[in-house]
Amino acid sequence: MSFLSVENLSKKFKEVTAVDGISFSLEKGEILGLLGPNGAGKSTTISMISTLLRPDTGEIMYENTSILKKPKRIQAQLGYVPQEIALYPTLSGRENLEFWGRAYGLKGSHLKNRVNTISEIIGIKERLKDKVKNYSGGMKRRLNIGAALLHEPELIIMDEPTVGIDPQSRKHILDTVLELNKQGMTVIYTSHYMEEVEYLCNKICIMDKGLIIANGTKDELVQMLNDRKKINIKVDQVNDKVINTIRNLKNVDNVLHEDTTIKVTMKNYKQNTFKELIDRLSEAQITIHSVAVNEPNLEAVFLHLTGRELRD
Amino acid sequence: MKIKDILIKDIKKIIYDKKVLTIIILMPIVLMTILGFSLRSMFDSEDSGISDFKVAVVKTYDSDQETHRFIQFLKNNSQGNEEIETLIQDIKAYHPEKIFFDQFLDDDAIQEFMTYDIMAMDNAKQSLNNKEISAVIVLPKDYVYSTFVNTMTPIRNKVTLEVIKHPDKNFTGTIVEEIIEGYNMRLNALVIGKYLFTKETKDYVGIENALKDSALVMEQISEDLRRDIISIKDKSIYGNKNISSFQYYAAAMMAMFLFYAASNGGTLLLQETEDKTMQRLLISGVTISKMIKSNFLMIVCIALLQSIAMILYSSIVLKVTWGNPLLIVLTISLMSFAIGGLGLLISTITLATNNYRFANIFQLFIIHFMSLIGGSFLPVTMLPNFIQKINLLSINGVGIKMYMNIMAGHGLGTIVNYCLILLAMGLVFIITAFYIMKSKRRVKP
Ligand SMILES: Nc1ncnc2c1ncn2[C@@H]1O[C@H](COP(=O)(O)OP(=O)(O)OP(=O)(O)O)[C@@H](O)[C@H]1O
Ligand SMILES: [Mg+2]
Repeated sequence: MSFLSVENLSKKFKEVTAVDGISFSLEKGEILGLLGPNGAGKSTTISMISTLLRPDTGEIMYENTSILKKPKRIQAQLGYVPQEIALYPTLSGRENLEFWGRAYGLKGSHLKNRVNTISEIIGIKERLKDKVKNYSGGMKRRLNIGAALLHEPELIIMDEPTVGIDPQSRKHILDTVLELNKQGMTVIYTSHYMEEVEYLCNKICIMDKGLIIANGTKDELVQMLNDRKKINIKVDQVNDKVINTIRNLKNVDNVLHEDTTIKVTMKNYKQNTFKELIDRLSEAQITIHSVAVNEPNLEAVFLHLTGRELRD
Repeated sequence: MKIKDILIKDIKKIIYDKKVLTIIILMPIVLMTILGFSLRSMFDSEDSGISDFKVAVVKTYDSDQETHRFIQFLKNNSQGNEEIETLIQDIKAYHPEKIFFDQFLDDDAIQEFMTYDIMAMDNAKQSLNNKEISAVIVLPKDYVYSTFVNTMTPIRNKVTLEVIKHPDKNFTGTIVEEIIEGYNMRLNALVIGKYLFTKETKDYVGIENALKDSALVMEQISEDLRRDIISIKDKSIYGNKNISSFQYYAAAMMAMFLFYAASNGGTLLLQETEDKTMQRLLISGVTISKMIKSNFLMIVCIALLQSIAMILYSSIVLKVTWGNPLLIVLTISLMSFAIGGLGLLISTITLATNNYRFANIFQLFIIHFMSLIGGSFLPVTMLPNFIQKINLLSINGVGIKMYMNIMAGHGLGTIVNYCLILLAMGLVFIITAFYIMKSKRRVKP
């Protein structure tokens, strides 16, 4: 049995079907990425996993126990980082951390130690005495994460924890997540940044309009597009004849040219297709300056599956 | 998570908020000081005391003529009775004027704080206008005759003494009113008692016996009146003697500003759903009922803190004496309980409607209305009659009454009813809040 498995989960808000019968599972020690555009249903999905929302249909099993029947089973083991900053702005950083630690039953010297450790990890140790409302956006984000880590949870769910912060803080957060994972924490991470998900996750679910439209490891997903590589060739001159010749090659899907750059999208990439392309250009006495083969990424996968960009 | 931990966080949220702290602590302190100073004359003119104030008594009856009329009445009703002459001599010992003046107004207990002059109506009114006296007591026409009839025969005539007050002498005027009201009541009650007592003489058969009984009745009246005077005096002193403007406004502002603890505390739960901290707490396994309990306790604690701060400030800086500490502790505890209930009600309405409208209406209008009818702006005795009637519907009104009684040195007995009112108010609020929560128990993620 999986560490966490979600079976046929749905949730409707009046007219809107936020989550539409999705299933996925997660093993201990994995980092699962939920990637999807605004309104895809990511937050709704993890709200149900974290017991805040009751699903309309479906089942969520955590270590072989239904958390719909026994929500307490997951609550104590879960660290939840909400999408919004959910902290007490008028209380200090330390008071916030201590409060959220107590919420998970920590106390005494253990609580103090954990607050110290966590504040060091999230890099706000020097500002612990200040009120949270005086923190910068990035510090609030980091504290928002820290508050979920005090009780050393087995599973941590992060809902777009890097929204609206500078690249440096973002890198810090991502590396923290990797470090926690190395220490044994299982992670569910939602984002609409494909780079983050690519960087962190061994397993990825791509969500759109309440559905999981693809899932697998990054390589598996990209494999879907592996035969759709894009090749950009810089040349000294371009003519219509050679463009037509390339277009008529067997595995070429599409050809565009801008000035002296020829952009070729492959249909069914094979090693010899590439060779053929180079040969045709040589035959037309065109000098090649450079060739770039673009590996497909998750962005392209999403575009391919939905016909839309991940972010508008 | 323990309720205690949530409670500490909730209390911190309130007392870290300078704006709220200004309203719940600083404002009442400033106001009680300003009002205490500026309205001092209103209280002090009477304050020099109760022992000094004067009233005028106006006789609108003709004593000799009415006495004669009663003797005539007796004679007519007891033809042929030889003893009637001696009995008539006897009854003069129980002359109505004697009851009112010698036994009532001249009693030491009353003379201690109120003296009188007998005046003609015009002079009395003039003195009242010049504020030389606190009130005019008018003995009605037929007072002597009717009182004779009431006490000596089974016939009953209603006798009502009137009191005319001056608006500027409201406090002492009210005492006089209460004293006379007590006198009227006692006399009428005794007359009813006597009527039962001499039932068998209904048809004037044994006028002789009736008169003998009347002698007994009269003795009883004077004895009862004496006992009554003491309690009338005790009762009247509240709100007047020893109550300085500082004492009054210390209690009045304290009672009023507790409402702000309720209105501010009542918005915290909705704020937590907006800040998403409530959702985070729910995810950590803290139940909403725990949060609501903590909310109630937090408002109670804030109200207690406010009360303690006000009492310390007023007794140290304004030199206000509050009276029996145990009764004060009892009062602030019950007040805080009732305020906690009110705050909880505001919380649940705010949470159920998912907006701050009710809390705002409460803060902008209801608090001021309650403060007015409760007597936080002006003593209720100075307000129109209908307000005095609904005065006890507001928590602060009950509180002010309790503090005034304790300041005047009264015991638990006089405030026990107010205690029950506060307890009942708190419970009604809590039960209502409970039902609101039960019918709308949903939190948005
Ligand atoms: N409490 C709610 N009431 C009504 N509709 C809701 C509620 N919560 C979510 N929705 C709707 O459900 C859909 C999915 O929302 P959800 O917040 O799960 O998306 P998301 O993937 O987290 O998006 P984002 O990246 O913007 O956070 C949206 O159309 C949203 O408007
Ligand atoms: Mg979301």
